[in-house]
Amino acid sequence: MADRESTGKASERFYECLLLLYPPGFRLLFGPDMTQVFRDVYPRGARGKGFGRYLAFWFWTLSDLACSLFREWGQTLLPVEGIDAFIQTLADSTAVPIGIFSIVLVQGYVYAVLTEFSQDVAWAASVSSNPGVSSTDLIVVTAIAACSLGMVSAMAAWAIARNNRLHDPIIKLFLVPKTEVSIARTQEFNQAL
Amino acid sequence: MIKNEPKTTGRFSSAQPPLAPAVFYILLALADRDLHGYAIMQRVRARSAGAVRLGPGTLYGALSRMLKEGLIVELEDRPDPEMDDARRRYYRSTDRGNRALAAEAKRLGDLARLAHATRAVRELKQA
Repeated sequence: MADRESTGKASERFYECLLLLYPPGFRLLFGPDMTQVFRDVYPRGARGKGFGRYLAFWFWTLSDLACSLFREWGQTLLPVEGIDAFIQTLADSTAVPIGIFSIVLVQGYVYAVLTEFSQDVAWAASVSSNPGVSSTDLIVVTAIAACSLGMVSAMAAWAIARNNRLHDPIIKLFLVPKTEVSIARTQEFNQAL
Repeated sequence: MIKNEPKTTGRFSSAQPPLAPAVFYILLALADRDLHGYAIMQRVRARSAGAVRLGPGTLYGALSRMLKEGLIVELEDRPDPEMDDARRRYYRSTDRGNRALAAEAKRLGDLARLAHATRAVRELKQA
């Protein structure tokens, strides 16, 4: 029972972390309500119905999150300044490392949950056999380790991308050629005149 | 009491583009009573016989757009303060929202009549 409670709390915290991926305005306005709804839905969706149900619940939650993330960021950025600003903002903002971080986070969380159920992992079994360490502790420790690794790798990727300005070729690929061609044609036209 | 009264006064007619399914179901859920987010989710699920299951992201994304468009308003009062959590926010469908719902219902009704009039559907019904 205590394990279920702590898993519920951990899931809620994890969901709150995922809400950080939303645009700040949307998150501030609806974040607490979304957490409240998650708190309401979680007991019915994920608890006490086996691992398959738990996995299905998280799959549903993450799918919903992914779809609404794209929509909300699009709504936040696109109508104001257009697609150019959207690409530029995405490239410059912290959304990229946060996105990478969240993917690793999800992977780490799934792995952590799986280790509870796959007792054939040698070190997991050895830790579990220690009477002082519960399976919840094991999940938390594994998740923290995965998250730390994810954060370091995401920050490193972001730093490399910014130093090398990796987003510039992408922006040029989509935006600059059209402008350059247009300028070149105008110059040709002027010369012909 | 209504919080953030919308300034939108546009008129919804059958010429309006179709409503998104989530928006339609939310308006349907709010048609006869004020509800909070989780209650909307439950009502949508019940009214669609489990076919439509709104997640928190989809629900609040739709509510955000509906608030901007003036289809719903947020209430300051709780319909039943003793029965519920004070942290929850309640929503109410506006006249504009009701008109949008009616226009969409008419559009779907017209489409259904059109479909029932086709030979393919008639043959299936007879079979």
